[in-house]
Amino acid sequence: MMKARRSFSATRELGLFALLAVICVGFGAASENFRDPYNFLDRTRQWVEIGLIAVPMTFIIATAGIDLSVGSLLALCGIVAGLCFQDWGLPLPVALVCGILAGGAGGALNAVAVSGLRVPPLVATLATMAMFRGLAMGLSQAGPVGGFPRWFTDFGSISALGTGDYLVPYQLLILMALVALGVLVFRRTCIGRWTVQMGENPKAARFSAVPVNRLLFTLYTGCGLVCGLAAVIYTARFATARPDAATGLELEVIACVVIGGTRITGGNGSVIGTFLGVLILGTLRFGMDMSGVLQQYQIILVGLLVIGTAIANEWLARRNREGLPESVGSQYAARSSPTDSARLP
Amino acid sequence: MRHMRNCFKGTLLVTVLVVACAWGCSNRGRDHSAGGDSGKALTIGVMPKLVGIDFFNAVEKGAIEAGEELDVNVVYDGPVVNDVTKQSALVESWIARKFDAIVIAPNDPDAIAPVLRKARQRGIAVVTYDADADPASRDFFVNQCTYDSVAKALVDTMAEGIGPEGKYIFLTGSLTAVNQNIWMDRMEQYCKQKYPNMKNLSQTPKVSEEDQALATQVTIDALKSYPDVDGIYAMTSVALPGAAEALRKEKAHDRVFLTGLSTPNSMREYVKQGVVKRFVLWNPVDLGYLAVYSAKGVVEGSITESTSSIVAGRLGQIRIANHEVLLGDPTIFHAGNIDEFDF
Repeated sequence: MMKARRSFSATRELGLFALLAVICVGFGAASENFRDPYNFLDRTRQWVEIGLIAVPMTFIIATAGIDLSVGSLLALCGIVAGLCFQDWGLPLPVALVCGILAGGAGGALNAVAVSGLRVPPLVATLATMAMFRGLAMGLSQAGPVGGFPRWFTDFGSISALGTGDYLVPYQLLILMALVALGVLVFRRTCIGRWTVQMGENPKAARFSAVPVNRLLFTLYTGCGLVCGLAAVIYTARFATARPDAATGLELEVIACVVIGGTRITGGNGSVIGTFLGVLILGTLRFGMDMSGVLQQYQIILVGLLVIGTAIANEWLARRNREGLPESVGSQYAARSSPTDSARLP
Repeated sequence: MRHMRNCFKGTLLVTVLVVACAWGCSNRGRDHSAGGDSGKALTIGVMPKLVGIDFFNAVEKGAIEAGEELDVNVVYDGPVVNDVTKQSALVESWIARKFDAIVIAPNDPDAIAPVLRKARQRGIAVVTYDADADPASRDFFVNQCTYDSVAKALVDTMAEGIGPEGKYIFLTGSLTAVNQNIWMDRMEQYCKQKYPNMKNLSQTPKVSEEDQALATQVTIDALKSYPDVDGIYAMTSVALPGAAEALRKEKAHDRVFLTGLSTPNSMREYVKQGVVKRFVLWNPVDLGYLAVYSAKGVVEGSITESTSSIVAGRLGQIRIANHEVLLGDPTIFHAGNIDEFDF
């Protein structure tokens, strides 16, 4: 079963990689500014917050859940960090940790609603999405919080590792580290296995002694913590903590996860795919910017891309079921008869 | 399975090679162009707070006019909502597209500062207009009107309307609106000096909260509570048409003189009906025009820290002081000239 899934996701990742290559070659041929390494690396700063949150979101969607509150939570964490620094006079690093912890608390609230109170994730996080945004607005009196030191704001948009035109922004390294961690956890630990089992069939997962509640709690809280981390980077990038920060971020994150081949109905997922999704969306936007495509047409093209990859994913999943009967057999058994799959490891 | 992995590795290798080639080519290309095409026209990006509103459409008109005169390539683009994060992303892409100058009306002075600093580090001239950014992050600010010049224009207009011994009240947006408070402060100072017998009937300004219907209601109430008032200053572009509506409803425009700050499009009707005789605003067409002139000056080095004035096309001599380019006196709009403006 593991083997079959691997090949399925490898095919999909290969396809995504080819798509990314086509985008790179196409825009690279069309625009000199696209080929400029400084431009490309600097642009990655704009993808980092989305990329970070997309990692835990991949796990959550793989359990057939969703977290719509990530954008609002990011704004709230930024405001908490900003106020700790400005109004309470805490040293900036401490204030930033407070912001990240606020993310953990927000995530835990989602987790309690989803796992403890059994509110459907869509509803629970829709509610907290409004709540977190409202809290951010209330705490900051709807105004930006600024006055951060130069080293912090430079970290967001200027500081980088490297020389000449090859400057790697520090936050890109953070993203790479989290993606690597995500891949490891998904492929090599019980959390990854349980996540997939839970998404395939939650009842079966419970019967087969998967600690569903603990799993959900870990995933949603983790997602909140990552939102806090993203909030620190976002705040540095815009030199202000803003209550209206990251509006609509949740949709971008979900789009990346879906492009990456994680099915919105749960049951499988790929962190590498998600990372490729982030790169594809970002590179496509960057390429369109550099070739002067107007903002309104960019939105249409991005929509087409999401639909296209979703169709391709469904097609791949179907072919996978038909081509590899044994693997599908067990997956289908899992879906149709919980008692059967209870015997699975 | 093995085949699949090899295939994957192959694609990876090919892509890396292709990308490496592309980057290699681009570096050679740039070295070449660095020696060559110096005669290329400049590209200046002009960004409004948001696109699609009359004020900034007028700025665009002026910017394009200046672009044609100066033979520079003007790109006008901006966010569809007044969101500074969208502005920041657009500045990033203008940096990447290697514009020569960026002219911007920032939605937030601090949030826009890091990308503007980055633009300057990459050798791009940065000029702000309409609203300023953190002064360390830009080269020059094109100041549409100093606070004093607005205050003087408003007070002189009022004195002309109600005489040097008239009684007046203020109608503002909110009590915390920074620009309005400074203007009212300067107006009182100037008024004391020049027209010492004019009298403010209400030390606290009336509040309209940027709500036109509320402005109308507040003005109707004020006409009742101050029956001897001669003049009203409406300090925001929303308060002025609201107050004008009140005068029309109450048929009070013959005994009360109303003036203030607003745009010709929102006041045209009232000026034509004689409800409002004269009002004040800076001219956004000239603002866009001057901003592009200034940007070109900064790029070419004709505007530096020590420059004290420039000649900007049809605007003539323009003063520069303290890293600010001063547009000069605001325009006074009346029935005779209002049809020349569309913003």
